[in-house]
Amino acid sequence: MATLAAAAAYALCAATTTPFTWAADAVTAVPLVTLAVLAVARWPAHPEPLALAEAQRARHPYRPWLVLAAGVVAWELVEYLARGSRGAHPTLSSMVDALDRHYVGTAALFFTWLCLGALIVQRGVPSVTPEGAERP
Amino acid sequence: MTSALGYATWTLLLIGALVLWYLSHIARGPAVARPSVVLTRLATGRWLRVLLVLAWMWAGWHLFAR
Repeated sequence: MATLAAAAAYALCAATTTPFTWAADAVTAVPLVTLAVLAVARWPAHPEPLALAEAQRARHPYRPWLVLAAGVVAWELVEYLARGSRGAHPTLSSMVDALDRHYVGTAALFFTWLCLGALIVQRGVPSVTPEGAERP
Repeated sequence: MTSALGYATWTLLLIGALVLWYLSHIARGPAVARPSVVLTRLATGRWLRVLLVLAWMWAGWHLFAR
């Protein structure tokens, strides 16, 4: 809870900065360095990839997500490379920029980004096994 | 081509993500992996975890710094 509150406070501070300034670089660099340090410190050097039960594996449960991710990447490229204004060809970045114009939107986005980073570190630690999966 | 096609496609992709999320949580056998399982698989892969961290870093830098 204290960590979440600290992350929220940090996101609120970070949202006051303007991109392309040293302040924005600094507040963004701190979580980057923190995650890198935590990953090196807490993750095993030789990870054991998450293993699904045999019955689950046969159903290829990752495939739908892979297809969706491929669709997102493909459409992002189509829109990015299309001739014309960005308004006529919205990309993920341009849509997020619209949210980024508002202080609360930037703070919420920054907070989400911090939480995702913390989740990534947590999931890479061997003791964490999500429901419906098993470690080898 | 107007922006309508672009926004419509993004909306469809978002709906697709929500459908997958729902399917991964329904009770009868997960034919679709839960997002937490996908994230754990990525975070425990030897090279996937490096790509995952780099993607997270790039997203933050791109969105908030440069």
